[in-house]
Amino acid sequence: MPVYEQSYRHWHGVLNPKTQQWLIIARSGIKMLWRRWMIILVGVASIPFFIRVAHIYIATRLGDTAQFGKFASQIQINPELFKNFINQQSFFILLIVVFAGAGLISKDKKFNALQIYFSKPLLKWDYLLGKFTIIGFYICLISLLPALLLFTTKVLLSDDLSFLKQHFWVVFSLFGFYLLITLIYGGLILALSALGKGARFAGISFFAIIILTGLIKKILSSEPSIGVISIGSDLQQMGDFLFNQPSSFAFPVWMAGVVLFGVSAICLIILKSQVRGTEVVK
Amino acid sequence: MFTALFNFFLSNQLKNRKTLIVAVAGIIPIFIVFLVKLLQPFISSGETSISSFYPNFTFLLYLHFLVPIIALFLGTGVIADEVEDNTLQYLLIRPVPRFLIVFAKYLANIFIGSLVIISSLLVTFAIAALGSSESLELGLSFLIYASGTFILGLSVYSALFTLLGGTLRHPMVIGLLFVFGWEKLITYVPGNAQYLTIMNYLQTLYPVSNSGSLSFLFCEISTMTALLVVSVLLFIFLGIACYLPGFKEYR
Amino acid sequence: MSIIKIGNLTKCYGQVIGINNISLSIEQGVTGFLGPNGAGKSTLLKILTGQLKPSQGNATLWRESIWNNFKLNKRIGYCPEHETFYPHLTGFNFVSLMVRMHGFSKSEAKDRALKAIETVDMSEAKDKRIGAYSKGMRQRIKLAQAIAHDPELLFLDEPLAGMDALGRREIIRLIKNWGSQEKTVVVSSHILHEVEEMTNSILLINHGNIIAEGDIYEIRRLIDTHPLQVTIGCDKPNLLTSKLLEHNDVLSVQFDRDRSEVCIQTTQPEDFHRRLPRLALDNKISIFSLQSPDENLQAVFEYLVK
Repeated sequence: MPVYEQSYRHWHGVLNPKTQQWLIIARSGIKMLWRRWMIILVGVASIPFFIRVAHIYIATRLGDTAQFGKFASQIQINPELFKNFINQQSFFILLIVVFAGAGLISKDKKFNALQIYFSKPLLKWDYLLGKFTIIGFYICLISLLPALLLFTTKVLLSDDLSFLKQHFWVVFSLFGFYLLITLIYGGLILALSALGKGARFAGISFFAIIILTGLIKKILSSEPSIGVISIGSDLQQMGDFLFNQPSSFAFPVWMAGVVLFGVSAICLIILKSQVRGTEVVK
Repeated sequence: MFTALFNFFLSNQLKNRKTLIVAVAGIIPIFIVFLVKLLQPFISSGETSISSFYPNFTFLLYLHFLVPIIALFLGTGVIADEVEDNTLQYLLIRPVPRFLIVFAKYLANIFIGSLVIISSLLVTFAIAALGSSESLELGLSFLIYASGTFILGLSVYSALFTLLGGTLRHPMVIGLLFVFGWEKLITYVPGNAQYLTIMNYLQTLYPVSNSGSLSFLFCEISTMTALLVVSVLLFIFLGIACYLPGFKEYR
Repeated sequence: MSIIKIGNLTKCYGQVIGINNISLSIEQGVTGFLGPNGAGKSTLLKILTGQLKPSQGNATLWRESIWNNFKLNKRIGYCPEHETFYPHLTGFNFVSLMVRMHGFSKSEAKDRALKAIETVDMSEAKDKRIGAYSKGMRQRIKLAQAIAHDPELLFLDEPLAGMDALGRREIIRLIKNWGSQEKTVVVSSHILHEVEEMTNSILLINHGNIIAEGDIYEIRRLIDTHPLQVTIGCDKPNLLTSKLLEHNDVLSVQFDRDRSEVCIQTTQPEDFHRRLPRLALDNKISIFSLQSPDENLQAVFEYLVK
C-alpha cells in the first residue's frame, strides 16, 4: 500500500530513551528556583552552621572540656552533634521543601506542561527523579553539606586522625539520614503538589500534616507509642538509630521505619497515578 | 452591590475544591476524638474525662492548629487566587470599589471557615461528651466562648494573611514562618515578648483554666485588653488589606 | 464627540516600554486595534478599562479618568483575551452573577443573562459547568458577560479567538450591529481580514507606538513609498499595456498571456482608476476582472510594520 494511503499506525517498539533526562529536569528546576528569596532562606539557614563551626573550633582547640562542668557533654564533639545539627535544621528544611517543592508538579499541571513533558521520550520516573533531585539539592545545601563541612572542620582542626578513625562511619550516617529526609519530605511535598494545581494547597497541607502529627502526639502524650504517628518523631528515631544513639522516644525503631515506609509508599502511589500526560475531565 | 459580591464569592467558594479541603481539615479533630473515644478502655492515661481532655485538646488542635491553618489557606487566597487564576479582571471591571471586592471575599471566607470550625467543634464535643455525665454544664458556656475565640482568631489571622496575600509574592512562606516560626518561638521567650504575638491574646480569651501543663503558655492580660487588642489588629490588617488594592496594578 | 481620549500616554513595565507616548481619540462606532503580538494592544485596553495605571499621560472615557474610577465601569463591557474562568460555575450562573454586580436585581440579572447568552448562541449549554466548555464556548460566554448589562462602550480583546468559521461570522455580524446601534466598540486583534470585515476605522500599533490611524483606504493611499498594484484581466492585454505606459504614474507593467492579465504598479491610484474606464471604452478593450491585491489591510500592515 502506498505511503499516502496508509493511516496512523501504532508503534509497537520499546521506548528506550537516554537515561539523563532527569538531570535536565533537575538542572533547570534548580536554576529556576535559585532566586532572591531562596538565597535569603539558604543564607538564614546557614547561620546555625557558623555557630557550630565556632563551637567545634572552641571545643577542639580547648582540648579538655571537663572545665565546663555540666556543659561538658554538650560541648563535646561526637556523632550526636552531627545528628542534632540536622535535627535542628528541621524547621528550615521544612521551609525549603515548601518553597522549593510546593509548585514543582502543581504548576506543571496548571499550565498543562505535563502533556508537553510526556510527549517527549521521557519516562515518568525520569520526571519524578528530576523533581526529587531538585528538592534533594536544596535540602542538601542546608543539611548534608554543612554537616559534612562540620565533620571536615573537626577532622582538620584535630591534632591527629583519631577522630576520623573512630567516627568515619558518621559520614555514611549523614548520607543515610539526608536521603531518608529527602525521600520522606520530598515524597510528601511532591505527592501533595501532584494532587492539585495550586502551590499554596501543597505547601500548607505539607506543613499541616507535619505539624498535625506532632500535635496529636502531644495531645495523646500519655500514651507514648502514639508518638509513632508523628513523622518528625519517626525521622528523629531513625536518626538516632543511624547515628548509634539512644532512642529519643518510647516506640521501637522498626515501628518508625514501618510508618515512614508507609508514608513513602502512599506518596509514590499518588505520584504514579497523578503524574500522567493526559488529563481526565469529568 | 455588596450582597451581590458576597453571594458571588460564597457560591463560588462553596463549589470550589478548596472548600472541600477546608472541610476535610475540620473532620480531622472529629476523627481523632472518635479514635480516642474508641480506644479509651485501652489507653493507660486518666486524661479522658471531658473536663480535662477536651479543653486541652481543642486548645491545641483548634486554636493552635486548625484556626491558623484555615486562616492561612483562605486568607492568602483572597487576592492571590484571583490573580493566579486571572479572574480578577472580571471583578475589576465591575462598578464596585476595589476595597469591597476584598472585603466581600474575606467575609465569605470567614463564613465558610467559621462554619467548618464550629461544626467540627460541635461534633467533637458531642462525641467526647457521649456517655459522660459532666457534659452539659461545662459544655454550653465552654462551647460559646471557644467558638467566639475561634471565630475571632480566624478573623484576625485571615485579615493578616489577606494583607500578606495582597502585598507579597510569597505570602504562604511568610505566613507559615509567622504562625509556626515566630509565634511558636516567642511562646518560649519569657517576659514582654509574648505581647508581640496574636496567639497570646487569643489564648487569654480562650476558656481554659490557666493551670496545668499549658500554664507556661499564658501571659497575664485581662480579657478586655486581649479583646481590644485583637479587635484593633483585625481592624488595622483588614483596613490595609482592603485599602491597598485601590492603588495596586494586577497584570 | 470623542468617547475615548488619550493624551501622551506612556506605560512602562520596569525598563520595558509597553506604550510609548501615544495620543488618540476614538468616537462612536467600531474601531479596530491592530498589531503584531507584543505591540501593546492589550496593554492599551487594560489602561482603558482601568486595570493598569498610566506611567505618564492620561486616558479618559467621557472626559473622566478611568483609573480607580469604578463608577465608569457601569457603562463599559470588557471581553478579556485570556481564557480564565470560575470553572465550577455554570455559564448562566457566571453571567448572571456578573450582571448582578452592576446593581440589577436578581430577576433582572437573570433575564439579562439569558438574553446575552441567547445572543451569543449558548442557550443550550448555559447550565453546564464552564470547566467542561470547549474553547469556542468559553469565548462566547466571555462575550456574554461583556454585553449582558448593555454597556455603551465595549472593549473586545481578540473576540474571535478559538471560534469556528460560523461562530466568527456570527460574532463579526454582532460587532457590526453593535457599532451601528450608537455603541462604541473597540476590537483588538491581529487577524487582519476579520478586522477588515468589521470596520474601516483602524489603529495600527507596533512596539507601543501608533504607526497609522484612520480609514484603511486612506492609510493605503498615504503610503506613497509603496505604489499600488492593480491586476486587470482583459481581452487585449498588449493594447492595454501600451496605452497604460503612456502615462508617467505607471511605474511598471507585467502581463500574463496565459491568463490574459496585466499587472501594473501606479503611484497615483486615484487618477489611474479614473482613467481606466475611459481608456477601455475608447480602445474597445473588455475588462473582465479588476483586482488590487495590496489595497487591503494585510498589505498596509506589512508595509508599515516590517
